[in-house]
Amino acid sequence: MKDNTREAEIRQKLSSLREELMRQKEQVRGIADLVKKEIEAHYDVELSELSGKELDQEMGMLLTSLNEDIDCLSPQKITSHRKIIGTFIVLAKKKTIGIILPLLRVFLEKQRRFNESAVRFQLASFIRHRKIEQRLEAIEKKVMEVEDRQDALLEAVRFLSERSGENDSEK
Amino acid sequence: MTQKNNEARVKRLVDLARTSPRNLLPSVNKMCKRENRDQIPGLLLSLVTGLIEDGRVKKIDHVLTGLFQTAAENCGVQTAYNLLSRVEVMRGYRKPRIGIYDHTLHLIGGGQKYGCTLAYALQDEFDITLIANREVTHQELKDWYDLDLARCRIKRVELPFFENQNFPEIDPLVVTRRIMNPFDPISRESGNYDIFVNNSMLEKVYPLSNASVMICHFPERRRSSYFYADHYTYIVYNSLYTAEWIRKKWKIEPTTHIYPPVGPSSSFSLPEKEKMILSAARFEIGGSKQQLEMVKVFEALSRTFPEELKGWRLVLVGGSPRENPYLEKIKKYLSSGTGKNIELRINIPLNELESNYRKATIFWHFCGLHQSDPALVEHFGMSIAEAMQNRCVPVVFNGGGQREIVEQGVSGFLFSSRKELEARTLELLRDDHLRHTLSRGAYARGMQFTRDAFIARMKTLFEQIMDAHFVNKGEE
Repeated sequence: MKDNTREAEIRQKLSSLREELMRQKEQVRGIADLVKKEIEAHYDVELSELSGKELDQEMGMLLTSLNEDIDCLSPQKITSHRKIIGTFIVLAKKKTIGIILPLLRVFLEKQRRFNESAVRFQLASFIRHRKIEQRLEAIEKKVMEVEDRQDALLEAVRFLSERSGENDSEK
Repeated sequence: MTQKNNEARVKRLVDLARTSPRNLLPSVNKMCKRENRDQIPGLLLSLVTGLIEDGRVKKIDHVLTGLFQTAAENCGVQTAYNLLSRVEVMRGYRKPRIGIYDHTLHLIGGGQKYGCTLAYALQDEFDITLIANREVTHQELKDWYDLDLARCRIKRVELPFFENQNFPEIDPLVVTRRIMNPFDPISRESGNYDIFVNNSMLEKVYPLSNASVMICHFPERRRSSYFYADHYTYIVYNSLYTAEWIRKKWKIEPTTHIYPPVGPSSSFSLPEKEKMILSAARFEIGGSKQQLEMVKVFEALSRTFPEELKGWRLVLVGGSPRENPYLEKIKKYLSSGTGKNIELRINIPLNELESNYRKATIFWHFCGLHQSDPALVEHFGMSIAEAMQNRCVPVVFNGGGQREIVEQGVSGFLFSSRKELEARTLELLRDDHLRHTLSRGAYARGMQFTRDAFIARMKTLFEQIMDAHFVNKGEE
């Protein structure tokens, strides 16, 4: 009887602890913080292992990333991960950038134009490469069709000649 | 540290809790700081169960509160939660909870049938929740897969990244390291279950449960941003072909091979077979199932061998979206008057599809022919196994999972080129005896992939999982 009461108490306790832990889980921001360990999340893709379709996708994604980063003059969000002194750090960063940026603008503008041309050049190469590939695929398909037709014709000829042979022997 | 040492250490801590409870938590804290991070959950589990079973520790509720709090502080709140969950399941306070996630559960498909059949098989012994991202009902799942999942819950977890940007479908390909992982809400959800099953092969979901199972129907993407497939406890694969690509693309070793569930679980009578060559496959917009190629081959055979093809027809059955340029291309080709004795049956109901399987004599499947992309080769081929269960003789492309189903010359034919396909088909049309022999072989082979066989294998796997993670063995 005593054991049963104790078991019921433990069960009840675990149930209330579960609720408490659930509440705590909701307050934790990141997945890694939930288990208090670092989780490796990113791997560089081995480009040499990719198939044609995968390379297309990868190139598309890389071009998108490049495109997003063309403008080195676009305003960046200035933040700090420090809780208390973060506000002062952000203020200091803003002040410093305010002083340096006008001096750098000439160089950054040149860099922006260079980025734009480089990305457009990459895009043009990509499109050109794709068109060549499509043409090649069409040619390969046609060759295969011709080969198949040739095989079918040969089979038919073989079959007909066998039949005519049989007919001749019957005669 | 040996198991014996750990046992002795846990015993000392239990004694300490009895004699000097105030000193227990500082000692446990010290142990957590000193010990290898991966060892701590096992040690704490042994300690908690030891304390409960001892029966002599006073104010056990206070002790437990302190212990779980210490676990949370040292190893994270999820680890403490998992520890508590294991104690509950081990002591039989509740049924183990399984969450089965599929980001495409709202769409009909073979992979989804796999996950739903798993839920169906386990719903009596486990508390099961089907986790979806879009709306789907029990009735829809019953209509699509003929499975009564009334004892399973369906929970919808929205992914704000995809919902806010109005993506028509949830496409993991758009996720790069430049954005926060949009699948984090699913990772969080996974932590609410004892066993989390990822039936989407969605490698971007980090599993937080005590045990986790990744069901991989084919590794569609390579290791890149937010790759967590290697954090799953078990990797289940549907065919040897898939296993080979898991090794190549993910560079990990899959653990368990379970073929998909196919067709009925009971036997049935067959009507007289008709002179019908059947193909049952989706009309993919990209044409990967190659129905147009089938039309051309049938047409060429009919023209060249009219005697052999006399009375035979080709029936192409399959689902298709409303707008499908590939299907239009086939229709246009047929309307030019070239394709005689060829029938298209689009989006037909399940009973009509089954009727076609029963009547057909030969089953064609070209998926993989002329393909260089391994993802476009059949990973298993459920329709082939279903046709074989209906005594159709399969003539299928020699690649992918199809090689594992059809045994060359015993339960059907495999072909590598159009020439070989035509020769094998003609062989079957000319030789009644061969057709009957292969039909018997096909049936025997097809019955190895039934729903019952799948359920038995899955039950064995989950017994192993329970044994490994939820049975008290004293120490990990």
